[in-house]
Amino acid sequence: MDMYNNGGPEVSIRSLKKDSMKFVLTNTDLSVANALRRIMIAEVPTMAIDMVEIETNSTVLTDEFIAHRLGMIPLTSFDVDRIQYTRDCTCSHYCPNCSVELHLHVKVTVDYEEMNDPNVDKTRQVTSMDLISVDDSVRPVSDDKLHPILIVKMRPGQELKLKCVAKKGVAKEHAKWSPVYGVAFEYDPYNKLRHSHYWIEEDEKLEWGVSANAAEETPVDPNEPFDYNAKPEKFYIELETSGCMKPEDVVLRAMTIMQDKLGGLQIKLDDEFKEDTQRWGY
Amino acid sequence: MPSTKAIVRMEEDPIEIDTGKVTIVPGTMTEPQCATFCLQDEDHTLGNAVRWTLMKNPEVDFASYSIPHPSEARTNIRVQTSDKTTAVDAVFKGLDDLTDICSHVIQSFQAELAKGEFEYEEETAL
Repeated sequence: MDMYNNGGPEVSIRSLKKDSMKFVLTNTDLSVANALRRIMIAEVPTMAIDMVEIETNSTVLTDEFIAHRLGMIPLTSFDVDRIQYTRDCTCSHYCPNCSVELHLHVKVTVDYEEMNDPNVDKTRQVTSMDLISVDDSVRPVSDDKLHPILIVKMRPGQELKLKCVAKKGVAKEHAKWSPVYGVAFEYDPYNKLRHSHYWIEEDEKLEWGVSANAAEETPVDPNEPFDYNAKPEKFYIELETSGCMKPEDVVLRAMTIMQDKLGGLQIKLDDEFKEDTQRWGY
Repeated sequence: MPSTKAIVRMEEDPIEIDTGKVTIVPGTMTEPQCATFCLQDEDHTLGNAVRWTLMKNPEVDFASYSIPHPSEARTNIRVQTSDKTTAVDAVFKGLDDLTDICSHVIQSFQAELAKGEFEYEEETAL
């Protein structure tokens, strides 16, 4: 570990579920904890539908409306490392190395016997379950029968036929690629550092209760003078994924991405500027 | 004569891979101990964390970062060091330290996962 950081950051996991986790990061700076948070939200790559070719659409929704809805559907991205970014791929348009195709074809037939029976529900709900992926490792997250994602509702005689192309991307480009639905990030629950300025009507304590994380810290003593040298120490992080990957993988990938960025910069620095300073006689 | 590394495809121009992620802002390196580095496509994520590791280095007299314009994806990092080192070396060390911190977080996280002393739930009961 580096010489000035007494032992380095520590992680303590509080809970781990199928698509959410809580952990506490200690012994590091706010900037590092915030970098982790920012990378988890915006720079961990996942798969999402990026291109839709519509062959037939006689539903009530327009083509672009349906294309937008399809883009929002989370896809399982456990194998995302195997897939290349299309911009880095050698293919001209898209290929199996940089994309995954999903097909959807729903045609609601007219049943003349039931047509005028008001007791028969003739609405066909087209959901993420109707999306058939070419690659089994990239498919809609909620493909269980209990929680499918509704795309469009159809009536007899209507047809929807389309081809989707899912691509690898990061949420910096579009939020649909974010692996997380939310990251809760808290430090200093008693606001000892006075980083928060609460909007109040009458009484701050009454209107702004302390969070559950406050149980891990000592309550603030009102007579204690303000410590202007104090720094945030414990970062309470809670994340919920879209189900596209495991929450622990999101954290680990985020840190690896950070290292890759840093490594890239170091190579660049070494290549270009070591000579620059050597010219000065160093 | 095209560079030997470039692969020429058909009659198209050889694809240039832009590696210019780091540059030194012209005129800011008046001596080797000070420079303003410009990182392309980086933001507060890296800027703030690198600034912190730079400031941790006792040989660094001054370190700061800024994003000169919100609609340009670039970050400037200003570094001034003592005579014992150079700005380039200081940034190199800063990046190294931050990489170590990241490895430490990964190790600590994996150790915690292996220990398994936390509330755990594989599948939500439906």
